Amino acid sequence: MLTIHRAAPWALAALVLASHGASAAGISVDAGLTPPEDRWIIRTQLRTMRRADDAGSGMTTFTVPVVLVYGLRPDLTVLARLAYARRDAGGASMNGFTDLRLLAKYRLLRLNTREFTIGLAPVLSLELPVGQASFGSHTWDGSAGIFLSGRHGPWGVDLNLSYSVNGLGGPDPDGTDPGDQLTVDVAFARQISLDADAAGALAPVLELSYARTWPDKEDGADTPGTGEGTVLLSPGFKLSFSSWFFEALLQIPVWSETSGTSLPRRPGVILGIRLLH
Amino acid sequence: MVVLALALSGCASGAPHRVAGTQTDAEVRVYEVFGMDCPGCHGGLEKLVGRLPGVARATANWEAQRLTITLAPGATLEEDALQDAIRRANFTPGQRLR
Repeated sequence: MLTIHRAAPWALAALVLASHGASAAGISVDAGLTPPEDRWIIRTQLRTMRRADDAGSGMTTFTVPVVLVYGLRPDLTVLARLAYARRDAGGASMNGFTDLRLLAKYRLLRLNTREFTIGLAPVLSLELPVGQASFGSHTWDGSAGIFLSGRHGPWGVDLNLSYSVNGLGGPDPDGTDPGDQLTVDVAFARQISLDADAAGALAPVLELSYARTWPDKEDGADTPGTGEGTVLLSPGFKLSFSSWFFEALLQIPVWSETSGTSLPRRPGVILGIRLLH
Repeated sequence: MVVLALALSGCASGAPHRVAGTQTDAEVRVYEVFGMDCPGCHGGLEKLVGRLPGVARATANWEAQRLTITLAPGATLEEDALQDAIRRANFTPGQRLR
């Protein structure tokens, strides 16, 4: 029997908490740098995530997140993210919107020199339970994170550490207390100019991501089949210009620990564009 | 030869660089700017600097760590205002190179 992973909404949330800044080295990893004041960034992607057993039976989720980013001040960036998802499993399909996530990123440290740049930014987010079907969590969820970035010439590295508290207001309407989530992500990239004016650049990217979701609880006991740990190794590239980016990432699970009958993750793909103004 | 000597002496004395041959000469300035790391950084900086009074055009180059500003004919540009715009883009102004 196919088990729809109870942590799916959280997994989707982790998937779409993607890099939003124009200066991020990574694609699904964000930068500890904030964009310029009055900078608008619109970002959308097509993401695939598949869970399947060894026989190939499983489910595939397609997600199209749209993220709107605005540099309110040089030290404060605000974001809103909403995604539309479709899941195919066992010959059946369901689709709907995910929860709405609102984020704020604050520039705690920014040091620019001729040789290097360092940035450190804490991030807070709140997820509103407006999602549909199994794509919404039905609970208010919050997260806090710290993002760190370093740049040296064409080389860049980003590190993200985030913790999500799911179910801020208590259990969902079904009485389930969703498990919290910890994510640790690192991305490396190298910018390669495409012309003498540096108007375009191609950047190979490599990301390493760890996500741990604790089991849900019902009446104080762990819910069977919930909770997991995953490590993804993700090669990709970004093609960037002054006002738009194109990016592609292949996410390869290199380690996973699932619970009970939960299906393990299989490789997934991210394709995306960013428009900047 | 006299014209050439006068032109060269103007450059050597640090006089503003002007784009010759235009109907009205436009002053061009070049500054170091630190903190840009990809072409995506250009637009945000150019947008803020381009709004400054007197600036006709601003062009950034992340790899060279440069910002080139072309002023409108006869216009002036306050250095403080320029540095403020660069900082609001989350970059750090360096030396003026030209």
